[in-house]
Amino acid sequence: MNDYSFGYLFVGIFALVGLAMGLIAFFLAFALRPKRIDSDLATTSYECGIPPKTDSKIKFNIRYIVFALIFVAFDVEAVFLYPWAVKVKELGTYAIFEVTLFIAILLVGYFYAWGRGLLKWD
Amino acid sequence: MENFVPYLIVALIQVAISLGIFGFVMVNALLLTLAERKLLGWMHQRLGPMEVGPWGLFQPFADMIKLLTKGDVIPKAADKFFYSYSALIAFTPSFITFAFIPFGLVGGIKLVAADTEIGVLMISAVMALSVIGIILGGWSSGNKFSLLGAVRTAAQEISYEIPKTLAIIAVVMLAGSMNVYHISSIQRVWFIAPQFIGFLVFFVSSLAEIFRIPFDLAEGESELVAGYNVEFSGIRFAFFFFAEYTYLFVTSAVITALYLGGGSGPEFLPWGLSSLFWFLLKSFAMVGFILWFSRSLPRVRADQLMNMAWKIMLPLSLVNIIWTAFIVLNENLLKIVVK
Repeated sequence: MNDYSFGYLFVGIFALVGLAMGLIAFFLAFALRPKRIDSDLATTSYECGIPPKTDSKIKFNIRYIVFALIFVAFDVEAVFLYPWAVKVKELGTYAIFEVTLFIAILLVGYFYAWGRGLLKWD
Repeated sequence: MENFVPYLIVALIQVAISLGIFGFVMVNALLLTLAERKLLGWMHQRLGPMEVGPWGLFQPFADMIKLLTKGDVIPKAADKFFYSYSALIAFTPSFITFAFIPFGLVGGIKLVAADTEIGVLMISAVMALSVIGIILGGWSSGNKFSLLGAVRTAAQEISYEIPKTLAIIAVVMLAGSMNVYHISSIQRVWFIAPQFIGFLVFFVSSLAEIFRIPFDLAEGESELVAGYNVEFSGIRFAFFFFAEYTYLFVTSAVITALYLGGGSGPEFLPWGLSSLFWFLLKSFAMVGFILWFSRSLPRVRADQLMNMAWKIMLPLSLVNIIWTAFIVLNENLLKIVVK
């Protein structure tokens, strides 16, 4: 074990304690709450008091998926920028020109998506 | 961490710090539920909760008992497994993020449970995991409102993730490190000054990520009745809200560390305890500011929300990176900003 992995050990501990805390609370609730739900109506889906006609698997706007695709491109870009950002002070002007080029290539796609109306929500 | 300190002692200190943070997480979430209701009351010229205990101080405990003893309602249309445990998926990451928050430097020991070199990246990565819990919760409820709330959550979170990440990149450029403690301690001038655009972008994106009011479309009461948590009650509902209030503090703490100089301030307590004091003071001031901010504004529309992320925040954050590059290249400016 070295300095590097030492910190992550505590990330693991936090994850376990967080999960354990949740499970203990869930168990407490299980032990304390009444076991029986008397009304059959309590377990129908809530739709403002009207009995639901269809199930919940409805069609929703395709836009959500388009945004997810554009997101992937930008998020990968952001991940590439992190190591650059750490070292930019030492690398200087040259690195900044390179990244400008990198972002410019991505911006072409961004403006294409904007021009095609993909960023419009309707 | 110095190499000559034996690991055992370091480990014991870290465990002590972690225990302190565990306690803090619990108290913090309970305290914030009361604080929000009190503040909301005062803004409405009401008193807020007053009945349970002196000045309503025991209200959070009463709520806790109430939520623990609620009957277990699982809708017939729900997917049982994911419905039962999605609240835990939403909550656990919120707990993990506390490991990366630098509470200060007391007696030469950093009050960070996990002092990793990529802390900033880890915080945003772990925060993003919570969304999975929320989306699963909304989808598995078997309710149309909650399904719509869930897909809205997904769209909103991914849209604001990008400007937020790019705003953090500008801060990393100035600090030359992703270690949260390093970033907070290197600031000669609070980064809110050289990074004002970045701060605005980060602040707005963070509000959107934790569903505070101008951006609470995922749970908009007047349109989606309660969004992803329509069907949730009892302990599951409690954990979704536990996560939300925990994130309220985490966001404020991250803003404090990245933009408000972390624990820096006039030293008036021995052993560097003042750094802990200043960090908590700034964080809770930020929490108060967020609560005030979100109670003063009406909710935006779905299209306004998306337009703002993609057409205003994203270009602004790129402009901010260029501006930061300008500072980084100019040595005289850089000397003023960082130590």
